[in-house]
Amino acid sequence: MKKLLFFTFLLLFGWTAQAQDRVVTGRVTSSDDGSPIPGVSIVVKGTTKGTTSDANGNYRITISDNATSLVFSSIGLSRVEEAINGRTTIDVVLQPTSESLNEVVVTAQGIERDTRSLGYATQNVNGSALAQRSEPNVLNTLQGKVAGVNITSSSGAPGASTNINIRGITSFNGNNQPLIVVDGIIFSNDVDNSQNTLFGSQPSSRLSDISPESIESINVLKGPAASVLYGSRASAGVIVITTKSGKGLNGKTEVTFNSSVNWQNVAYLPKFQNRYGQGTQNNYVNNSTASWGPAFGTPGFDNVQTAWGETVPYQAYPNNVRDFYQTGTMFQNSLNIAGGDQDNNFAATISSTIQDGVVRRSGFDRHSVQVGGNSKLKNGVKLGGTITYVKSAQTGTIMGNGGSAFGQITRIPRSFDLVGRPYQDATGKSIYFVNGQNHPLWSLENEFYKSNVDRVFGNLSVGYDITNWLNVSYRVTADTYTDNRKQVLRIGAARAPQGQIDEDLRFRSELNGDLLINANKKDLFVQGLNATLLLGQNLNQRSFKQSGVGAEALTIPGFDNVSNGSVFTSSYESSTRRRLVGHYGQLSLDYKSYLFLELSGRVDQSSTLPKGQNAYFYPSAALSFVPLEAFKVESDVISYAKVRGNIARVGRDADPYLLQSVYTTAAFGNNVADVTFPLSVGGSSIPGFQISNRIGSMNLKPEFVTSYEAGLNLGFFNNRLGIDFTFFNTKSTSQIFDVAISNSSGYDTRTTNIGEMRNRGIELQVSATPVHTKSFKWDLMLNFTRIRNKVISIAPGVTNSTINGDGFIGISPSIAEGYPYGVIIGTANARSESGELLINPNTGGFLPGIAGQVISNPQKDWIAGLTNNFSFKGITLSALFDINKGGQIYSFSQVDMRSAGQTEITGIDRDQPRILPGVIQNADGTTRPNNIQVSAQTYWAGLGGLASEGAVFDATAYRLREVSLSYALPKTLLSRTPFGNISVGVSGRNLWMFAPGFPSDPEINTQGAGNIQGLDLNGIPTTRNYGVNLRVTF
Amino acid sequence: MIHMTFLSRHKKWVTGLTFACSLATLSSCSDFLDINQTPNNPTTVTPATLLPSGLVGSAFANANDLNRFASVIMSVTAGANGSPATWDRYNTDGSDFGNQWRFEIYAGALINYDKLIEAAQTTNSNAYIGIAKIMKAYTFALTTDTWGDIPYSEALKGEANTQPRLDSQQDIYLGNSEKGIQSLFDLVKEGLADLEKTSTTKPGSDDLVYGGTMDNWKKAGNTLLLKLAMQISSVNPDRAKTIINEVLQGNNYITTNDQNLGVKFGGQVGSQSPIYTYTYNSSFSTDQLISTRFVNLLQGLNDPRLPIFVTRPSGSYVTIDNGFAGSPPPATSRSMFSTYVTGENGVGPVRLITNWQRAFILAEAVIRLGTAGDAQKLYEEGIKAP
Repeated sequence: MKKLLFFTFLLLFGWTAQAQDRVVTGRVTSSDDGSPIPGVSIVVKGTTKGTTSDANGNYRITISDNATSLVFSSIGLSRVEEAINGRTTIDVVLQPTSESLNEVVVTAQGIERDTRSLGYATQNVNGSALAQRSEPNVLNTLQGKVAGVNITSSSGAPGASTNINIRGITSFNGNNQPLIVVDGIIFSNDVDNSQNTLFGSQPSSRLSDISPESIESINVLKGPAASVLYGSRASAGVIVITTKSGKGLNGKTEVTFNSSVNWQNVAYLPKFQNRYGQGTQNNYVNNSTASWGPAFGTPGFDNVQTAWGETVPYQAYPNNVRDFYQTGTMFQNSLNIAGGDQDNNFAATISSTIQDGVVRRSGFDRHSVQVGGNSKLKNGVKLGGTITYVKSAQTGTIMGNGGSAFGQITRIPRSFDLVGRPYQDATGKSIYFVNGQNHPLWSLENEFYKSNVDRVFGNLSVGYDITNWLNVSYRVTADTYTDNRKQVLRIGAARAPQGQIDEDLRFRSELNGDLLINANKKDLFVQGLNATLLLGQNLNQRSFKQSGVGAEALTIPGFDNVSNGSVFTSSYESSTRRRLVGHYGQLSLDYKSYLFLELSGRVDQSSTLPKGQNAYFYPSAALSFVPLEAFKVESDVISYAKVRGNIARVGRDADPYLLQSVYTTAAFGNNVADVTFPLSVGGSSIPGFQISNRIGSMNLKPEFVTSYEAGLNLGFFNNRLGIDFTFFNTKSTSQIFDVAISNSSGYDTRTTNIGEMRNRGIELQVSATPVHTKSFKWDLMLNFTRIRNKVISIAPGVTNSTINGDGFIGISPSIAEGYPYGVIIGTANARSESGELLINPNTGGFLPGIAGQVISNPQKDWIAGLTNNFSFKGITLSALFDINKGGQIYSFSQVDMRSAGQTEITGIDRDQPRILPGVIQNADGTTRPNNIQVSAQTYWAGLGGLASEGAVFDATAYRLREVSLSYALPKTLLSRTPFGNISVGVSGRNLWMFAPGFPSDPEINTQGAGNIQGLDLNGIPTTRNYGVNLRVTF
Repeated sequence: MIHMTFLSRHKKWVTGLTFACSLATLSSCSDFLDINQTPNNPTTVTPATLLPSGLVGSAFANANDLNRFASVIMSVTAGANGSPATWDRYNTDGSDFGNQWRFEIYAGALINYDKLIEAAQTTNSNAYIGIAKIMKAYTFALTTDTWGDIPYSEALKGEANTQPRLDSQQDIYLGNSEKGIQSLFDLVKEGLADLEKTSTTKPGSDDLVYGGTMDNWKKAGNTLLLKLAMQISSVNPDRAKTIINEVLQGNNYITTNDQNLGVKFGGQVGSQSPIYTYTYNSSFSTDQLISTRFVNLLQGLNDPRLPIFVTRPSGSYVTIDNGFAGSPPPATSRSMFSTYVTGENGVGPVRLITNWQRAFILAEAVIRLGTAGDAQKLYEEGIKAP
């Protein structure tokens, strides 16, 4: 009986099974050009039974009779459901989804994700938006294009460093710039200053070693949740750069050649007055640096005597400062060969940039070679690797106040013929009217620096799918460079009259080993719940070495070698090495493609924290919900909606070697007089050490940043309009900081964990395609960022402290309780109770100011960037307009020029007496308006000079940042030629600027990239670039 | 069977994975991470490298901005520009000498003397300990003379006391056993006693004052007692008299110029006396020049030392008066400190305690306190000594 039942059951089952099998085949092609699409997932709807299309787009799937439809899907393409309806051949055409939504982005650790599943904010920029824009620096090309990101370039010098910050400053002392990852390689963007940033050379930040033309795309991971897999250094965000490879070429080989020529001119110099010449108090004084002399055309002043006895006509030279600069040129060329398909591909690029700056004898050259590829072996092992060699050379002059060309350029009288007369005598000595200073042209020739960087970086990765749900890979990356720098101040230089040569060597290397284990499971516990588990281990080592020989007191003129010196006390050597071991895990849950949850955790152990207490853990959680998908809503208006939120915490370790108290080579004195050991006394060299005035701590703990983020993504009208809104709040605590202690304890500072700082802000991106016809398309993208940063507390009893960096007398970039990070503390004007300026009744000038006050805040109110793209047939026009609103700049250059009567406003009604704005206090405490008349010179100089409030200006700027117009020759024209694509274009950068509160361009920061911002202490002005470019593929 | 095939095909993989996992074990991790000792700075140093730093620190405290300031206030120099010009108008406040307080005195000379004593104690180098105590007393005296009540007994303790209390000037000079404050006199005497003990190592060329001649340090210590005593003679004449008599009895104090306590410097940039640097080399050298009052005073007395103290680059003395507000004379013609004051090319010495100072102190003590000696003779000795 049982046997009979069993047999019947088997028969039935077997019969059913046989009757259910059917084979369906077909081909999947793209709607763009009809080409086949491999790798498309084809699933019988309602089951887990599926297959993927092969290299030719063909697929073959066995289905049962009760299968109703097939679902075709692939990341980056629209999902299509095809009812089977009894067919055995089903061909499908898939469309790429709208650009700004549902795209694939590269997230942390190189993992590609569909944006709908991300619970945190990221923003992707395509490489084509960065290339051919008359700008060789990658970071500058991102300006105005990414919400939440604040990018400031430091000057118009070739290779100038650029500061980038995402979502505000999160560390008192640490590096507040995001981590840069290039093709999985953690990439150094360090500046490594070798000189005092106030009056020395300004090296590049090392991201300038990458050329914008080699970039495929950049993805910005904005907050700690997005970057927790990268660990400690990602608390300030991550910029993930992917360079061009052969992946997307579908078996073809393509050669691309890019070439461009660009010109640069110094832009937005302040307007000068040309009515009065050299002198003071209306008298001609031939060694004065001011222009308070007699008016041109005053009887008796047709000719005057110069400081070296010549008689010259007394007239204006309106272009004397402008003629100091030249037209710079920039030539960029690159050749890229790539080929292959998704699994096996290669790419090789050679590129070269040669730039001559607007200042004579300054330039930036960059040459690089890159080779890479991917391969999938027969046994299934995937190999991938890339290696790049870059050679960068930067030359330029020293900047800063005092003895430098740029210290003098703000002190050129209107009647001085700067470029038309000889600047040196027959022996090569500078001829200049200021005692102790050199002619700026002499300085360009004899006070210079050169930096030569050789850099190699690359990665090698091996991966294998052990089963179809388990994948293991190991990746080794390295980034190493050597920077050879030479700064020469020849004999006679103002800063070092006996001459000085500094040879500095910088070596930096970073090695990483990453193990990644990836497991995924569909329908975990519940149907529709897909889970991915990622486990990883990171081994990291960073080494840095700097050494230098400083030769002073040179003997032979023009011999620029350190053997020419006789005093070598400023030679040094120092190195650091640090290691980190990180273990991390991430669980991603995806419920029916509308609810996503991601939980991550990471444990880091760092060599820089005390032994036995060097491990720290930090987690994050991110949730995103796609309501339209959940409720299966179809709407003509809303085509996409996602709500997301996350909480994350990231820990940061300390800098190396902070735990011990050490001795240093002794040095005493200040800017009045100083000595450095070893002393040379009576013919012997006497060494001397002193205890460092910083007390180390054996109880140091990591810093932490905790962030909360909530956001909304909306798409309207079939994604013709997209809105992405984010609100974030981050809190930084336990900052590692050298807290000031009472000096009578014998020390100046103690390293400890203190403080709290907060950032709150919103980011908004709006992308829209208002017009889209067959031949004409207009789309626009708006980015808006508003961040409010506040230092909540520093340490008990400490209300402000100076930020590490080079200081200037009387002004200190500081952290101050209750203020944003980086405010500048200086001397504020004395004011009455109602805030009016107080006047000295005897002189008519301001009363002496009060030192130690917050006078300037460099942080901006908000930033907005609007990009418009128009394309008509083969013509593409793109324009970026951005606004930096608010923030203040402290400008020594501007007050120098104003106090000296050089700028236009000082020339208006100069012969009229003036009254400084303010009130005079009466004996009984009331005030009366100031009525004391003073001369124009007293007025303009009285507004304030160095270290005073009078040097603070509003840094708001409205700018036409870049414009590019290109024309791609029609394909029909090229079909008979070997060329696939030819396009020519013109582009321009920084073409128009308006700063209502500043006489020049406020986007300048003499301290370079770093934590000190908002200072203009005699640097090179910004430039306007424009050029033509050509792009050919074959 | 499947299992075996898997392993043999992926043997390299499995070993690779095991290796990577073993790296995660705790013990190898802690070795891998134990690299946080700095290679760039020493954590212990010898007394011979701390002594010159301390001496230079004290010399700078005396001869840098405080000297620049005092010279102007005393009308030896006059301010033409910058800070000296404002000081000439008595326009100064506490922030003017912050650098001295911070980096030349407390976190400079004084903490290094303490570290020197610590380092010398480990090797029983009593010579170094003695010198350190004497110089510590000198530097503290300079500090309290300038600022009044200062941290003293609780100072220099680092993390153990980051906010030391102020001790009154009286307690610092005279001591206060209730509060645990040692008097400066006792500190000097302790130092002198240390110099009497045997010492394993003795200073040599690192002693920028005496080159290692310990007898001179004993003389200097005793002369310091005379200076400190004279300093309090108006408020506590009895104590002053006792100390001076003790020193006279001991009869071991500076009697010739080559026993002066002066810190020697070098003739090259970066090694020069601060007085030389601020007079000739620094970008602030045009801020001050010799005062008309000083030249008038010495000329009025026909003092033959005038041309030795002061230069005359243009042939005659070119000076300005204190408080001068017009255009100062060109830099090349100005009268400035001569090589007697600055040393040839800046070798100094920076004179801290001198023979003639001793003579004047003793002369004054005879007249005001009634100690033994011939006041007139001592007075003339003091004038003729330099």
